[in-house]
Amino acid sequence: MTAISGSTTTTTLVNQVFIKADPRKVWDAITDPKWNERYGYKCPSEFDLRPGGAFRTLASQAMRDHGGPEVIIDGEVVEADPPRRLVQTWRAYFSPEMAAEPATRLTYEIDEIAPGVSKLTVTHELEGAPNALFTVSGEHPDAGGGWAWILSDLKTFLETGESIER
Amino acid sequence: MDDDRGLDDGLDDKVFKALADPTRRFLLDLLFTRDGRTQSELESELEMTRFGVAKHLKVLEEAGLVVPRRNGREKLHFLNAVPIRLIHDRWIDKYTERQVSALADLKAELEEQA
Repeated sequence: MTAISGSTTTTTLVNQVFIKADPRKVWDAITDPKWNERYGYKCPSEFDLRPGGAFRTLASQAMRDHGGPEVIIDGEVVEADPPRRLVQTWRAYFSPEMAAEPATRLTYEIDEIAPGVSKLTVTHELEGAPNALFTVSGEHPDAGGGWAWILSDLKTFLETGESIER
Repeated sequence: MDDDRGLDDGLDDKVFKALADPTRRFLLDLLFTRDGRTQSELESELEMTRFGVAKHLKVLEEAGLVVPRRNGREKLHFLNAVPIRLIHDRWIDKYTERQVSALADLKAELEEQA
């Protein structure tokens, strides 16, 4: 795991959730577009799960209707160790300001803490990307609830088969 | 009730208990302002012994509100917003969001005038 250096601590987000599902299900819900388009922002994310493999998130129909770009987030897989650990780069194109920021680094860690219970920890290192930080931290008033909301919905989805859907 | 509820009920209990203390809420506010701090950094903001701060941090960690991460020899503490979000999504949303947000608006408005 990469050291979180003292100067970057304010730009790193750590979010954690306990989910009643085994690590494989959690892994699939994150990496398989069949599942990952069904919770959170409801956008399919495609992963080529090997080092250097491509990652991209496509706009939902609603976003495309608003005239947004087709690929809204992209990046590269750095490390894929299913179903335990996924490291990737991440750059969003929600706005010209975000698109101009450097790629950020995202790490998913899945630990089975009891049979059928997973602890999912998502660490997002956002050094030099203040607009991305503002959005994924959930502080941006027009950008949904960020990671906390996505992970809350992921938990609901895996445990009930449904999204919170408002 | 089957034990499917056990995990979440247990965690909710811990979150409510953790939040029911002004020092622990203050620690969360400190991390909200600037995330990823060592215990020593947090101690410097409180009139409290090292042992006292450690005890409060442990309660916050057990509730999942604070997640510790190692960075070399340092242990950094990060605010985890998910447990509060879960309580929001399950409880506040379900019963009272409209009233709560109306009250929050009213409070914001009154504070702006003050």
